[in-house]
Amino acid sequence: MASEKKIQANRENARASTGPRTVSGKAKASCNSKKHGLSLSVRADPSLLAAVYDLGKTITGEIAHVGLMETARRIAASQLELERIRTVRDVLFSEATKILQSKNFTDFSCAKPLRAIEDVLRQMMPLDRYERRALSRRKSAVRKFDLMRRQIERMQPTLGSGGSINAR
Amino acid sequence: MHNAQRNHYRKRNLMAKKTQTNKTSKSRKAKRDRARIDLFGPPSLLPGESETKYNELFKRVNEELQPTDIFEEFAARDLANAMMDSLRFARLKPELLNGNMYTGMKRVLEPLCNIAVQARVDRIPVMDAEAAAAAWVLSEPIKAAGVEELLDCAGFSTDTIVAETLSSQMDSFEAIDRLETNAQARRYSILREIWRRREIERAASPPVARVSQLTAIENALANDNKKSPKKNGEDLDIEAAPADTDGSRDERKSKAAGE
Repeated sequence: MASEKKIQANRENARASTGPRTVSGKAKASCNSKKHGLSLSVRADPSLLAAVYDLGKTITGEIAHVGLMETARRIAASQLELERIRTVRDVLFSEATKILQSKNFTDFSCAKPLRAIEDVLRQMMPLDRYERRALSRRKSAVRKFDLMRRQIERMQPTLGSGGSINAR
Repeated sequence: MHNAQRNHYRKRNLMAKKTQTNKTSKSRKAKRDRARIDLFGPPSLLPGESETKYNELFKRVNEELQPTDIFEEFAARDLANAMMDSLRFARLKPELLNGNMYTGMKRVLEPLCNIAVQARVDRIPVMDAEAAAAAWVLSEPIKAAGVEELLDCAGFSTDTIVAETLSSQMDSFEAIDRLETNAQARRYSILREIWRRREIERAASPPVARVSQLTAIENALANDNKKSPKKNGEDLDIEAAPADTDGSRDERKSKAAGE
């Protein structure tokens, strides 16, 4: 338990520091919690929405069914999420390789590169979690898609299989 | 025209046809490859990595899996990427070891490089552990030889330095191992999902096929009955229907006989 004197000192110190004051400082501090943006869904990114719709259309092929289209879009979103994670991982990979191959390693007094490789590896860890989740989402969406497609085909046997390579 | 000449023309025509077919199949394959690239974008490569090697890996994965639809194409791509990741992590470990050899060497030399120890060995000059480790890593001839001699006297080998380096970077090695294991787990999970899906497709497809086959047969029967109403079912061309192995032909025969 902190003493009364220490608590008082902490309060005074806190009053002296009131966070960023300039506009640029405030703008920078507002982005403190942002790291890679991978926790955000692809569908929340307006620049990727068109890609989700396009890929969804490619997946459904000739079958026009609302439920199926929606599931296809879910698959497409998961796929694009995977691509996004892959891009981030590649950046980190290349950073790690650069660190290891850099000439700083021959500068023996410099301990910074070693810390950096640990940082890079630490940054790679959560990517696995995001990728596992995206893969799991895609897997369940594909299962649902297959089930729906089979049901539709049973009702309309003349329809071709959706998402075939030849349909593209 | 002589027979020989005729044979020659026949052969030439056959060859021309073959080349044409090869050309079409090749162009189809190229078109399909282009479609794949359009769908996935260019392969994700690091600086210094060969695109040809990645394409070779992707091609071999595709040959092995023989993807039948877009989902399997996704899986093939993921599989190739997971394999690439495993290879990259495997490459990262020796790089990390080499890069930190200096730390390991320094840790080994520190207790040896005090004057008391070096005084016992006449030929070895007194040296600082840091400078000696740096000289050894950079292979400076004179100092490196002195370091080797000092290590020999202490009964240490290169394995000692590797072990020391490994222990100094244990956290990083563990992290790389974990990431590599995750990549492998991803690979197995993708493969498992492909087989599971194929099993389900296989189990689900025969009844659908049978229904379509039966419909075709029924249509054929109806047409034949219209053409020759006197004929019985046994004269109908049942062989024309698609072949099957699950006994539906017997059902059809009995059906035809019944009619």
